[in-house]
Amino acid sequence: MAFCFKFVLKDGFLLRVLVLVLIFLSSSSFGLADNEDDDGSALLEIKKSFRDVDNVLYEWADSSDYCYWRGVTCDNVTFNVIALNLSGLNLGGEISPSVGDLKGLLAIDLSGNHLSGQIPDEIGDCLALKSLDLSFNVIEGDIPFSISKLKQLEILVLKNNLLTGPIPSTLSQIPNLKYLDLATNMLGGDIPRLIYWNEVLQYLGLRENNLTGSLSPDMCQLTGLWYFDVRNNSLTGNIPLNIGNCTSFQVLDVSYNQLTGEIPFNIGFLQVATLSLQGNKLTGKIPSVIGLMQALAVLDLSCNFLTGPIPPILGNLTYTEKLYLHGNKLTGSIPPELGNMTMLHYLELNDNRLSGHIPPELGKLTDLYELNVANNYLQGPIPENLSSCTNLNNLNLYNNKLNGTIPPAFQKLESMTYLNLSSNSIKGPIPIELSRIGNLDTLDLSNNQISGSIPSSVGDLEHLLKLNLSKNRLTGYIPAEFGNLRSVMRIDLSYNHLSGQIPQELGQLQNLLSLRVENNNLTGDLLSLVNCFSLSDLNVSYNNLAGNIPSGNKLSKFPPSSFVGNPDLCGTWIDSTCHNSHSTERAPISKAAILGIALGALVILLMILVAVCRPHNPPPFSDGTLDKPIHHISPKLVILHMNMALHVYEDIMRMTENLSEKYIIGYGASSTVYKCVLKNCRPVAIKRLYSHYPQSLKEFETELETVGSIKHRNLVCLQGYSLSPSGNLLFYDYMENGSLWDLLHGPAKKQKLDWDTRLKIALGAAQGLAYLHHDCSPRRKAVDNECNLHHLIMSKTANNAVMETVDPDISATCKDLGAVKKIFQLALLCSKRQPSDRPTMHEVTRVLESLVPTVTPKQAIPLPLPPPSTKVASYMEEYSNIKNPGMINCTSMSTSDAQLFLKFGEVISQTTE
Amino acid sequence: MMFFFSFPTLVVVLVWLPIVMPFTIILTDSGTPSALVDAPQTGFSMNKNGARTNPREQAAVYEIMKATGNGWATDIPDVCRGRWHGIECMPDKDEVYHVVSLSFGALSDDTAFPTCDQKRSFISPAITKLPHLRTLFFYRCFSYNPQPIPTFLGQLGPTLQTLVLRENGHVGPIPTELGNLTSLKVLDLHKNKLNGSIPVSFKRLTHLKSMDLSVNRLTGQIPGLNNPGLSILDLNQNLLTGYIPPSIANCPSLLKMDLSRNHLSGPIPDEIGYLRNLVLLDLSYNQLLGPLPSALGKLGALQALILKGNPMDSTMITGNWFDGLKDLMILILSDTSLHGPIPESLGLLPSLRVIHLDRNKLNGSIPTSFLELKGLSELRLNDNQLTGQVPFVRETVWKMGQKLRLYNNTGLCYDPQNGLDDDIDSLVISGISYCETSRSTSIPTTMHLSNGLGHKSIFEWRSSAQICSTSIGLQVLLLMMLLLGNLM
Repeated sequence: MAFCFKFVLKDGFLLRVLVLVLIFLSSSSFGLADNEDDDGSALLEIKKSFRDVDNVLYEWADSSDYCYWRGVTCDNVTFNVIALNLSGLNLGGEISPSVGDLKGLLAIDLSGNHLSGQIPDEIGDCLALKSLDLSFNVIEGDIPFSISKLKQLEILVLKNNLLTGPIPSTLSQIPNLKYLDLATNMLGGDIPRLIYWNEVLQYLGLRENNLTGSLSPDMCQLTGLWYFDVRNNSLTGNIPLNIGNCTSFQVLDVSYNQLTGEIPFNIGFLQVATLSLQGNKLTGKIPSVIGLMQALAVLDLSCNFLTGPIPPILGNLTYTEKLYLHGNKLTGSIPPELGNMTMLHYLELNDNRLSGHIPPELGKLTDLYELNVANNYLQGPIPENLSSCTNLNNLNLYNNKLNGTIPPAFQKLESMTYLNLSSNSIKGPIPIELSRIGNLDTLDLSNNQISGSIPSSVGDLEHLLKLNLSKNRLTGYIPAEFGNLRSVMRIDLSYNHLSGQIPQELGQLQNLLSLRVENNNLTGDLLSLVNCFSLSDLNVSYNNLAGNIPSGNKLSKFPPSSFVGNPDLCGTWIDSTCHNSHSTERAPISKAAILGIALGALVILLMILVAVCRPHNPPPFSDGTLDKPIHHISPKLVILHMNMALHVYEDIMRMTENLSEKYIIGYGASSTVYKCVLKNCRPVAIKRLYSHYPQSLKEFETELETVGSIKHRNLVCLQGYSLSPSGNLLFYDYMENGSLWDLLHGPAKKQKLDWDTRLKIALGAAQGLAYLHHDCSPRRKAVDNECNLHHLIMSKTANNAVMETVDPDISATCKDLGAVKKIFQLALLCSKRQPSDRPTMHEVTRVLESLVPTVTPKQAIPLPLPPPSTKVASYMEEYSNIKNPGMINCTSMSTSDAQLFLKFGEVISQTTE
Repeated sequence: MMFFFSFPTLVVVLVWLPIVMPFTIILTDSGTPSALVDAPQTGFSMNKNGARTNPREQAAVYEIMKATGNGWATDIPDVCRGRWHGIECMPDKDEVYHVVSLSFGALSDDTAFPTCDQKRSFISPAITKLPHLRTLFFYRCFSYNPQPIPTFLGQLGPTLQTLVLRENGHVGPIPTELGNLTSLKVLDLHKNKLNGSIPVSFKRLTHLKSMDLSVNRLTGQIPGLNNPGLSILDLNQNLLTGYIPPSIANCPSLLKMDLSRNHLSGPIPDEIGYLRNLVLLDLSYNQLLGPLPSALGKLGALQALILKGNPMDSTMITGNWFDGLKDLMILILSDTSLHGPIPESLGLLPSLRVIHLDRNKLNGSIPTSFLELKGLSELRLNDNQLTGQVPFVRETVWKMGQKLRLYNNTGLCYDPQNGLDDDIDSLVISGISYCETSRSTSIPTTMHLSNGLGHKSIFEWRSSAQICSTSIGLQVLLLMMLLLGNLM
C-alpha cells in the first residue's frame, strides 16, 4: 500500500506513468513482449474446445508454466510452443482455431483421438509447421486451402478420417512436402496432376478413398517417390504407358480399382519390391518382362481378366516371396521354371484355366508355405516331389482333373495343416502315411474315387478340425479311433459304402458340430451319439440304422430329414413304420419328464451359447479357394512365418486355457505377454495389446503384415497375429532372456554386462534397425513405425550409453573411455528432436562397428558375395564385407566416422550447451 | 521369344540377358545421343558377368563423393555394383557400366542418398568427367559453405536432363552457361540465395518441362519464354519486376504458373488465355493492376486462381469473367481492391469449393446463386460493404461453421423466417444482425447478437485475446509501479 500512497502525492509522476501505460498497452498487443503468455492462453483455448473425458489435460491450467504441460514442448530459448503431441489421449471435441496463434509450432500430432469437426483454416497460420498428423480421428469437411500456406511442411498425415472433397491442387505449392498420407477418407475427384511435380515427395498414400479419373503419366515425374499407393479407389483407364520411368518406386499399389487395358510392357523397367495390380479389370497377357524385375518380393496380379500363359521367365524371380496370379483366365500349363523361385512362400494359381500337369519341379520350393491350384483343369497325377516342400502348410488342389493316387510320401509334409484334394479323380486307398501329418486341421478328400477302408490311424490326427471323406468309394467300418479326434468339429463320411455301426467312441467328441454319414450302409443304433452335446448338424439318413431315436436329448431336435431312409429307425416325430408308443405317456408329467425338460432347456441354452461364441466356420464343401483373409468377422489367426506351425485361434486359446494367468510371463504398459508352447514343442511369446481404437483394426492389420515380413537375425520375428475380442494378439519368437530392456534394467541383473558386450548388443540392435530402414525388401512401413523405431534406438543405444557413463560398473570393464564418450555423443545425436538432425541407422551402425573390437576371426576373412539365399545380406553385409578387412584397429576412428562426427559436430555442441 | 515395338522415334536395341531368353527393349527416352542400353536395372544380379564400371567415371565418382564429405565411398570397389543409394548406372552395349544419376542430401530415411557435410562440401569439377550423366541432385548440401553454382555444370552439355540444386544455400547469379544444357527437362534451384536476373540463355532450354527458381533473390524482368513443353513455371518469392511477359503464350503446356510474392506490375496480359491446360495460377502478392483480362475465362482446366494481395485498383468483377472456368475449385481474390457487386454468375461455377473475396470493397448483396454451390466449403466475404439478406439456409450455415465468414459487412442481415432463428449461433459468429423487415414485426429491430449464447465470434474472440493481453500488460505495469515506488 505504501507505493499507492506515494503516487497520489506526486501528480506529475502519475501522469508520466499513465503515458507509460498507454505505450506499454499499445506495444503489448502487437509486440513480442507477451508472446509466451499468448501461447499459454492459446493452449487453454485449444483445451476448451476439446472434450477431455479422461481429464488427461488436468495440468493445463492458468497458473502453471505451460512448457511443462502434458504434450507440450517448448523452445529452450524463446519458450514458444514448438510441438504439440496429444496423440491417443481419447480426446473428443474439435480443434480450436486458436491453434493458429501458436506461431512457433513445428509439429502437431493429434492422431488417434475422437476429434470431430473440420480442420480450422487457422492451421495455415502456423507458418513454421513441419509435421502435421491428424490421423485416426473423425474429422470431416474439405482439406482447407490454408494448408498450402505451410511452406515448411514436410509431413502431412490426415489418414483415417472422414474428409471429403477433392485433393486440392494447391498442395503442390508446399515445396517441402515429403510425406503425404490421405488414406482412408472419403476424398473424391481426380488425383491432381500437379502433386506429381515435386522433387522431394517420397510417400504418396491415397488408398481407400473415392478417387476417380485415371492415373496421369505425370506420376513418373517424381524423382524421389518410392511409395505409391492408390489401392481401393475408383480409378479407371489404363496404367500409363510410361510407367517404366517411375524408377524410384519401391512400392506400387494400384490394386482394387477399375483399371482396364493391358499391363504395359514398360513395367519391367521398375525396380519395385511390391507390385500390386490385383482386383482390376486388366486384360491381355502377363508381360514376360516382369520376369526381369528381380527386386520383386511380392507380385500380385490376381483377380483381373488376364489371359494367355504364365510366362516361364517368372521363374527368374528368385527373390519373390509371394506370387498371386489367381482369379484370372490364364491358360496353358504351370511352367516348371516356377520351381526356381527359391524364396517363394505363397504360390496361388487357383481359379484360372490352367491345364497340363502339376510340374514336379515345384518340389524344389522348400520354403513354400501355401500352394493353391484349385479350380483349374489340371490333369495327371499329384507329383510325389511336392513332398519335398517341407514347409508346406496349405495345399489346395480342389476341383481339377487330377488322377492317380495320393502319394504316401506326403507324410514328410509335417507342417501341413490344410490338405484339400477334393473334386478330382483320385483313386486308390487313403495311405496310412497321411496320418503322420500330425498338424493337419483340415483333410478334405471328398468327391474322388478313393476306395478301400478308412485307416484307423486317421485317429492319430489329433488336431483335426475338419474331416471330409464324402463322395468316394470307401468301404469297411468307421474306425473306433475317430474317438481320438478330440478337436474335430466336422466329420463328413457321406456317400460312401461304409458299413458297421457308428462307433461308441464318437460319443467322446465334445466339439463335434456336424456329423454327416448319410447314404452309407451303416447299421446299429444312434445311442453312441447321445453325449455329443455340441452337435448342431446331423445327417444319418439312408443307412440301415435301427432302434429308437433317443428322446429327451439333442438328437430328438433334428428334423426328420436327418433320419429318413432308415427303415428300422423309430422316432415319435416321423412317419416310421414303428408304432407310436410315446403319445400315451404324455398325460402324467412324471418327475423324470420334468427333469428331462429342464435338461433339454439347458441343452438349448448351451446350444445357443455355443452358436453365439463359436466363430463362424464356412461350410466344409463350399469353402472355395478364394478364401482370402479379408472379411472374417470371427477372430482369425494370421500366420506370417512357417515355423509357427499352428492352426487356428482356438488352438491358442486351448493351449493357454483362454490366456490364463498361469501363462503370463510379463507385463508392459499396453500389453501382457504370455508364453505358449506350440504343438511342435517350440514356444512363442504372445503379446496381448489392450484394444484402443477399434476403428484402426484394419490399419493395424496391414501394418502387421508388413512387420511380419521382416526377418533379421537381430530383430525378434513376428510370427503371427490375431485380432480377437480379448485384445490384439501378437506372436513373437520366444526369447529366453527377455528383451534388451529387461537385461539392462531388470531388477535381477543376474549377469552384469560388460562394456564390450553392451557395445555388441548396441551394434546388433543398430544393424537390425538399419535393416528395417534400408534393406527390408517390401519397403512398406508407416511413419508411426518409424517413430517407434527412433524411440527404440534411443532406448537401446542412447539409454544404454548414457546410463553407463554414470554406472560405475562400466568403467571397470571398459578400457577405452574415449569409446564411451563417442557412444555418448552418438546417443545425443540419436535423441535430437528433429529427425533430419539424427544420423541414419547406417551411420550409427558404422560408428558402432568401428568401436566393436573385431575379435571374431570369421569377420576378418573377407567373404565372397553373399549367397543368394540370404536376402538380408544386401546392403548391410556387403558394406561390412568391404569394410572389415581394413578395420583391425578398432579403437581408432576411421576417416568416415570422423567425418560423421564432424558433420554432427555443431549439433553436439548445441546439445551440450 | 522376341518382342518388337514400333514407336517411330524409338531406338530398338537387343539385350542378351543372363537368362537364355533374348529381349528386345525400347528406349523410352531416346533424347540422348549416348549409346546406353535402357535395360531394366536389376539390383541384385546386375553386373555379375564380369561387366564393370568405366574406370574414369569410377574415379570421378570418388572425387565427387570426397568433395561432399563421403570419403568412405572410395572403399567401394565398384560403384555400379549393388544398389548404392544415390548412384544409378546403365550399361552400354559392351556391358560397360556408366554413371547416369548422382543424388546427395538427407532427403529422408527412405531415400538414403549420401549425405553432405554442409560445412565443407562443394561440387567437384570431376562431374564433367561423367559423360552419360542424366540426373544431378543436391539437396541441403552446402548450406553452411555458401558458394555459387559452378559454371562447369554447363559442360554437362547434351546429356543432363535433371538438375536439382535445392536448398543448398547457393549464392551469386545463375550462370549463363546453364543455357547450354539443351536436353534439360527439370531445372530446380528452389530456395537458394541466388541473385541477379534469370539468364536470357534459358530460352535455349527448349525441352524444359519444369523450371522452379522459387525462393531466391532474383531481380530484373522475367525473360521472354520459348519453352513449348514447359509444364511448371515456379518463380515465387523472388524480387522480380516488370510485366508478366506476353511470351507466356509460347508455353501452351503450362500446368502451373506461380509468380506470387514478387514485384511484378502492370496488368495480367491477355495472352494468358492461351494457357488452356493451366491448372493453377498464382499471381498473389505482386503489384498487378486491373482490370482482369477477359481471356481468363478461356482457362477451361483451371482449378485454382489466386490473385490475393494485388492493388487491382478499383476493379469490378464483370459478369462473365469466370464463365468458362468449369473446373475452378479455388478462387482467392482477397485484398485486391475489388469493388462493385458480386456477379450472380459466380455461383454457377459447378466445381467451386473455396471462395475468398474478403477485404475488398464489394457492395450489393450476396448472390442467391451461391445457394447452388453444393460443394462450397469455404466462403469469405468479410470486410466488404455487402448489404441485404444472407441467402443461406440453416443447413449450409451449420455445415460451414467457421468457414463462413461474413463479419464486418455492416449492411448484412438475416431473415429469421429463413429457418435460422433457432440456430443463430453459427451466424452469431459472423456478428450478423436480424433484418428489419415489415413482415416480421414481432422481432425487435436491428439488434446485435454477438454476445449471445456463450459462443465467441472470431471477431469477438480476437478482441478478447486483446483484452487478455491488456490485463497482462496491466499486471506488468503494476509490477513496474511497485519497483518505481520503492525507488522513490
